[in-house]
Amino acid sequence: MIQQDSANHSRPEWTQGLLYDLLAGQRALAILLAAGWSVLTAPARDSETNTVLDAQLNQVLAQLREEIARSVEFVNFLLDLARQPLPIDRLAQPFSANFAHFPMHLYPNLGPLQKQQANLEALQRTLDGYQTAALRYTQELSELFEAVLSEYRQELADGVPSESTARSTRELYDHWLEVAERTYERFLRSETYPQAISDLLNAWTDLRLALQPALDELLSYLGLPTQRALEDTQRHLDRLRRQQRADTRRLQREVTALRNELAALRDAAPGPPTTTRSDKDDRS
Amino acid sequence: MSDDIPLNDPLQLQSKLARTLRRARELQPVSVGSTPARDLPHPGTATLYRYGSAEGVPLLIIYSLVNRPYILDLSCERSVIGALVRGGITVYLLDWGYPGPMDRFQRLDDYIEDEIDCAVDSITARHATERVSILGVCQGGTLAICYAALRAERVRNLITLATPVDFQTPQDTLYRIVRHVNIERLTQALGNVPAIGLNALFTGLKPFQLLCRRYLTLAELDADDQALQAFLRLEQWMYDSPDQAGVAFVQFVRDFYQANGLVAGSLQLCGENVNPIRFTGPLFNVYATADHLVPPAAAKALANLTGSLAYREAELPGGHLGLFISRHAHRRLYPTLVEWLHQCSEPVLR
Repeated sequence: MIQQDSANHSRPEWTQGLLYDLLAGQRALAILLAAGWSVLTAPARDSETNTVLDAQLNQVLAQLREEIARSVEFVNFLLDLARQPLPIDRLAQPFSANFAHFPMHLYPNLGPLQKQQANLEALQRTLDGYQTAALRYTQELSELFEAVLSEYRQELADGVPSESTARSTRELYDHWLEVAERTYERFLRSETYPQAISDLLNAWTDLRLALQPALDELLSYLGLPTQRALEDTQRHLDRLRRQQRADTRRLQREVTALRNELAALRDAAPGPPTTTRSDKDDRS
Repeated sequence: MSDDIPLNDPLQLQSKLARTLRRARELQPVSVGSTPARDLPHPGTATLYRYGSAEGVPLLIIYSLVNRPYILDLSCERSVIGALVRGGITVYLLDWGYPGPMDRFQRLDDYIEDEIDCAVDSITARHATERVSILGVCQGGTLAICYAALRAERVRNLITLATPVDFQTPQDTLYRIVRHVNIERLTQALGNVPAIGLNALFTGLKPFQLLCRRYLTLAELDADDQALQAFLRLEQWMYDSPDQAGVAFVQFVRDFYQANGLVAGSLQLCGENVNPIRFTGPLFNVYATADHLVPPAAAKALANLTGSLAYREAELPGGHLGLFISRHAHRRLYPTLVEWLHQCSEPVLR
């Protein structure tokens, strides 16, 4: 959990965006692989016994756990922000005793800022949902990493690949990738792992939508187009395009009908058919 | 290769990798698209290209919306378009381009009615024919099947490459992930679906292969500029993805993946029910045995749905991209497709 400091908020350095956070799982995967590779390619290989390798893998796992824990920090950070007491709450503290039995989330939305209050409540709910989904996803990732490492350890202990066949670090690494990929595919085909990804994506969507009213309010205040304004423009343009396509199709049908009519008249007319310059142009 | 990198000498690997990375930087940017193309007047938002002489057997390629079509013409050595042109086919390609914010409400119906149908109009007029052969690739194949079902009288032959039809086969990992996603809300939040999100999804299906193994093989291209260029071309293509028009994306995920509309018979497009049985012309369905995006069963399901009186199927070893760039595909598949197209095509009247 990030400690809040009112003078200097310590933000995690990777809070560039929610989408980035959504991809934290992939980032963690990449770190796992990079770490695994660094263990296998460490220059000091003198005492390369299974015990040493095991210890090194444990170290990788520990680093990985730390990385996964950090991936939740951003969510916690947002949640903490949303829960920071406002100055008005401190002013109202003497009265709070009377409302102790009346939790904040049961307050009705009253007054000129009731819409904003409702939006903030929605934001808090979606933040809670996002945090739950993110935790579940990282738990799935942890289980995946545990399973990969456990299978890899087991196969090394069973002598696959054997010392005689493992001729290079590259072969050990390739084998590590094979085990990881096999295990990962098993997770992908499970019920829980894809469900965790979907839940995270849905929770992120809810969060993104809950942030929009506040963002739109700010944009509106600054005199900039809001999402609603952009969407209205997009819809309007789409209607115009459709109208134009329909008109074009109708005109094409009319031109074809007229051509056919003209051709029929020519065929019906006595004497050799004549071709005018404009007919040629039409056909070209 | 592993013999070259001894167990206790990872430094050698690092050194080779560093050399290759430096060389790769020098070779970038790489050129893509090797076959000369001419863009033709087209009323829609897509671009219609023609490859080869105007006198050949016309074939319209409908490519997927989620990637760029130049994978079909990546280099002279492995160009699907080049192989078809050399076989006497006049290739037309609909390039969807990069949908922008103003394309957010573009529907699949628009892609079919205003893009594919207009392209077919243009080709039939140029070749003085009533019907045109269509080659659909991946998601483009699904659109091609829909078009052939809706406008059967306008399609001469249909070829489908790595085309999903049954979106809920047990091996379909993509389905497992997207089946619980609230796709309407997602696009409500995002507008168009950003390519970076889709790339993350696709990479997430094979992270170890695409993020680890792939880049490690760079060291093996240490002294081979041609192979390194091929690597860089593919690398560029893999992540040069367009954003997805929001409404069309919702339709595809909801109606094809989540409802499995083609198999269930519930799919509605352009105001009509889409029933693949309506197309009775020759159909050549090709799929790859180790395709992780379109499992063989997803593609083979077409056999039970089509009304084609001359259905043919071909299975190629390898993965999704192997169908377009593998040596095997270029040696075996494309000559066969060219021959099949000539056999099944009416004489050009012009």
